[in-house]
Amino acid sequence: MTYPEALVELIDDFQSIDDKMERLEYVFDLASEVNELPVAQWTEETRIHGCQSEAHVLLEIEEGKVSLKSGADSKLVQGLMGILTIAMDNLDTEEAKKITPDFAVDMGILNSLSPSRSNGFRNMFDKIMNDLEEN
Amino acid sequence: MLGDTLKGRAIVLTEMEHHSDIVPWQMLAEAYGNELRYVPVKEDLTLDMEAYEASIEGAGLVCVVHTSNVLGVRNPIEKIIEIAHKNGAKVLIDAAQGAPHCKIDLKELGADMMALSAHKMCGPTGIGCLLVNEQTFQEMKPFMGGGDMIETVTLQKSTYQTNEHRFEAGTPKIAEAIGWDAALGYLDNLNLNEQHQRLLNIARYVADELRSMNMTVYGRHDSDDSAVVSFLHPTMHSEDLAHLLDARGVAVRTGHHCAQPLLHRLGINGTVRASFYIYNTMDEAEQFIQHTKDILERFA
Repeated sequence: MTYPEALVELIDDFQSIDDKMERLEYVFDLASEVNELPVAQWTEETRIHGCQSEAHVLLEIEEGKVSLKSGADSKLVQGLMGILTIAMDNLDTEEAKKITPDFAVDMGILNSLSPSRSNGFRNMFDKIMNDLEEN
Repeated sequence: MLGDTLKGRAIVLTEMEHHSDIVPWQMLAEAYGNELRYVPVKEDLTLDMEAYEASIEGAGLVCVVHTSNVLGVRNPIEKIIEIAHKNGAKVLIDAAQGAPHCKIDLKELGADMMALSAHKMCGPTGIGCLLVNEQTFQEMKPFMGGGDMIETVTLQKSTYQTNEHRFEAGTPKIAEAIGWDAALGYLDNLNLNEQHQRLLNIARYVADELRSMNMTVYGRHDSDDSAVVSFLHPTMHSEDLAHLLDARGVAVRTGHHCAQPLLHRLGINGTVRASFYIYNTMDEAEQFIQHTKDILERFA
């Protein structure tokens, strides 16, 4: 599928990194990309289930565009949210709905994660898509 | 297997147990109404022996971990057995963590049953064993029916093998048993006492270094304890540290280590655990410490 420009750039960035350690560290660096959801706003509705750490995401639609706020007690998880923020934040809702989780495969990040973290990433993506459908 | 012996009697467990020594007893209690009693863990990470003595009356079975897979703490098994037997209770030792680090003689120890796991002692996954003393063996009944455990089968009734095969229904774990036998042969040729001392020295060095990095270390590493070092950084998530170590070629375990009640007692959700065994060297421990320092410098 055709990805949004920011996501294409991010996929290129990851694909240019051969070293597993550097790729993982890049995910950590992307933790700064999230729009922070303060801990005080973490609720059962924002919780991402099936994640080994405490992870939350709030999706809102503002003038037809996706607004993502998120937070986690793990920097790696927050980095994964940073990827989703780059991929989906500020996109038109219809455009966001077309995104599939295959982009993570194209990035090659799943091989750098443990199975539980890969599963957590998928749960994050699914929650965002479900929230998007319900909005 | 011990259904009749345990009928109406309490089972004493501890807060330090692996889930594998909690969940089956909870299932049994749910089915037969046995009372479960838990011996608490004290602030110094040892079992509260006074509470244990107070809990033993009317108990039919005591199940206790020889050495904690989270803390490395070796429990006072001999004393626990003595108190249990004085009060007419049998004792099952979970030696999955303890047996790889020291030779344990079931008869000498005086326990009634002892469970082992192959993958903790250089063997394959998916196979373990339960050692049982003669008296307990005679009291045990088959709990799983099928091929190989029978003597005869008619449409009216089946009779069972009289030896240990009566507990092994179905096709045995042939490849795993052969693999474990090879692993045991290998371990048998090692001086486990020497290895224990060497590994404990590594664990003590690592624990001291981690403390100097402001980590909380959950363990005491006394002379009989095993060489596992569970630790936690004050701000960095255990999973994050583990992933970053993994990317540098260092394998550690994180999470609750299948001992959620113990972690709950410690007031935490998980730790990072470095487990040292016969294949590890002090040089590797030093590399692990250096990698940890590098990671904290960049990410903590």
